[in-house]
Amino acid sequence: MSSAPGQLSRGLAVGVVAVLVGCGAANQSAAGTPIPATPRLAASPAPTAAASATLDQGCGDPTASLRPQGPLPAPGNLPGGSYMKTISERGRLILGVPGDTPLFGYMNPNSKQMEGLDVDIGKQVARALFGDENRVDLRAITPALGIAALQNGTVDLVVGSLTMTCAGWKQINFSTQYYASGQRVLVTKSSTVQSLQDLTDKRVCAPAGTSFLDNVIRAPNHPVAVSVANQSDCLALLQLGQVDAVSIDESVLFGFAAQDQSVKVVGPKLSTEAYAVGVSQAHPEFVRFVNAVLERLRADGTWTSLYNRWLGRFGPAPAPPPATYRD
Amino acid sequence: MSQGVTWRASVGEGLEVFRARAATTPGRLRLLSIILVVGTALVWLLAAAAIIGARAEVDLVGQRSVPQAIAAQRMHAALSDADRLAANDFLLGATGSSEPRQEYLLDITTATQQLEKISELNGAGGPMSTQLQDIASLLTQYTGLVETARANARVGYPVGSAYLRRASDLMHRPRDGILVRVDALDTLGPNRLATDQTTLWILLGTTAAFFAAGLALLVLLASTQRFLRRRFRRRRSYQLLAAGTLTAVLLVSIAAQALTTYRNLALTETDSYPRLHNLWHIRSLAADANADQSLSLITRGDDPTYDNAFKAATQQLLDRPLTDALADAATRGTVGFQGMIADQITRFDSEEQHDAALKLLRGYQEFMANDAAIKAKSAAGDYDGAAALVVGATATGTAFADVNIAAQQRIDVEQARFEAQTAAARPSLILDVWVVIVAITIAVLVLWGVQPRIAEYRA
Repeated sequence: MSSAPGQLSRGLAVGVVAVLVGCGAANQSAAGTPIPATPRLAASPAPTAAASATLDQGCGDPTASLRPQGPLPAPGNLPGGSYMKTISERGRLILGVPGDTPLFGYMNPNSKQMEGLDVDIGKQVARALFGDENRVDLRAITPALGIAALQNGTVDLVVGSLTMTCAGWKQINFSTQYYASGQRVLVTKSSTVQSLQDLTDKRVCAPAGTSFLDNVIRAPNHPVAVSVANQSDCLALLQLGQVDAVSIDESVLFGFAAQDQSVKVVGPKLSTEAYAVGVSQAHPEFVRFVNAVLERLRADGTWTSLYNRWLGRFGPAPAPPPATYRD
Repeated sequence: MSQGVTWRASVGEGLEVFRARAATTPGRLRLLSIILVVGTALVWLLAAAAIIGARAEVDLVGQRSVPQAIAAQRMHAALSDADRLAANDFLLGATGSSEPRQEYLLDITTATQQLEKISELNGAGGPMSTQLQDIASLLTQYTGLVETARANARVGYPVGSAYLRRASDLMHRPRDGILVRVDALDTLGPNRLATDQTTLWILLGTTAAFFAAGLALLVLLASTQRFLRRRFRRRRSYQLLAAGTLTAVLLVSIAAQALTTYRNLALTETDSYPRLHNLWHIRSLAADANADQSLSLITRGDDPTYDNAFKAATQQLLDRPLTDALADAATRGTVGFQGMIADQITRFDSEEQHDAALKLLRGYQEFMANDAAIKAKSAAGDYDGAAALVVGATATGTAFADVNIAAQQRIDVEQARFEAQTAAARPSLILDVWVVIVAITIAVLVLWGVQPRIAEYRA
């Protein structure tokens, strides 16, 4: 079983050094023009509506899902007329995952297989349905398209950085929380920065139009916010030395650290992001089934072993996020 | 002190002698003949200077400005294409030696060669040296970013797409990107830098001095003719009349050459060059649009920047969606749209050019139909299918290639026309010989017309 950590030792030194030499030559040359540190800097970054669950209002507790009804049925003994039965008869679980988030859901270029924590969570649902976790069709899908795909039935589940929000609940159903994320800070390993508070007057990158950028802008110690159109631009800017830190969701930062061994994730969480599995509102029984699977993962240690497999290098596994139900 | 006094006395005596002789009829005739011959020589020298100056100016355009303009256009097209191919290669996984990768390397080589050519034309320490160094430096930066993108892509790191986007941004930044700087090297183009006008002003001054001297010679010949008629009761001196006629002919012929040179250079700048520039621009816009298709897929539609850039590029080519009805009407001669492709269809000098423009239109139609299919697959989540449509099985199998080939065929024709028009502005060497013959003839006629009258006084 190949894993992303196995690729961490791959060096990009030649490529990055070539760029840095080119950048350095351009920066030092009186006639050269350095690449702007903010390729698409918002003219005046404006606070946007916060997306974190703790600030989300209007639906009670957005992390509360539908309670499982009884013990998890055995594979092959699924309730008649249920969506699980439909999937079982189809023979494959269609799973939507991001596809470009290392350690959570991305394509291993060696094995040509999608892998990561999100993928493994989805495979546990397949194990519960079929007794075989490999009976999945994985579809690379962005979060924006994921909701539409659930609504039109293109996929059975979306596991991939979907955060539980009231706005989301209006469109799809969420399982209980399977990962507790939040905004943190990424710096180079040589940096002494321990948190956002240590970045006074320093350049901190975050994607435009996100609550992460808002939090940087609002930080009382006034770091210099640098916005980009795509979050991966932040890692490039950090590698090129054009920002001092990146502050985005922890899961994204772990993915960055997987791509570059010279950076580290530091600091406490500045926000709370509750990750859950997305399910169509047409199949509430399927949500309960998925929640039963998640309960089993929490109870039998599978969740902890999956966490350690993908994220263990960043520290010991925390306790699994507790399940909260609304019924 | 005594030497100074002696010298001044000698000059004074000389002037007195001169005044005494000039007061006489033969004295005046000798003076007039000297002035006319010297004037003829001056007219000849100024005519020769004007011709040499015009030839130098045309050579400057033909051997420097034109090749530099063409090299800048080729460089722009090669770099646009390189950016497109870098994106296409990334979309294919940036592994190994794909066809886009090979063509990308060729494009970078072409661009570098054109930059070297411009450097040679500019000369060491020339006015554009700083700009050329900047471009060379940025090009190194660009290729470094592309290689970093590829290296990341090969190991599956999403940060690779960030480097690719930065590379494309560096290439296309509207104020100080590489392409904008390359356009500034085009000394005939709309973004040209202010060029040294000294040579041009010298030429204009010389030409003006020639016409002034020529007119003064004509006036002097007429005055001499009048003097002879008053003093010798002759009706006219046919030799002086012939000399005056030849002077007028010389003035007219130089004026005609000046007009020809000016007209051809003006047409080069205002007609044939803009048409050529237009065609290169069409080709570059098509490449940019194809790059935007790739980049949009690479960002998985999360960033509308590349979709917007695609629209901006294609709307310059055609200002509205091209329906079958519009395309058919254009084929029949009714062009119901605007844009750079429309300009090609409405402005042509031959049926061959018109057919080539219609081929360009059909290639564009296919390209846009292909884009609609790409967007449909992307919206459905079929990124592999969309990528296959963007890149195609082979370069020649893509809709983009049709636009590219059609544009290049027109470019080849227009470029030959552009260079021929520049060459036609150059004064012929026959004119130099003609001016010498005419000047000598005028001088001989002057002496032939005046000397016999002087001889009558000696007799």
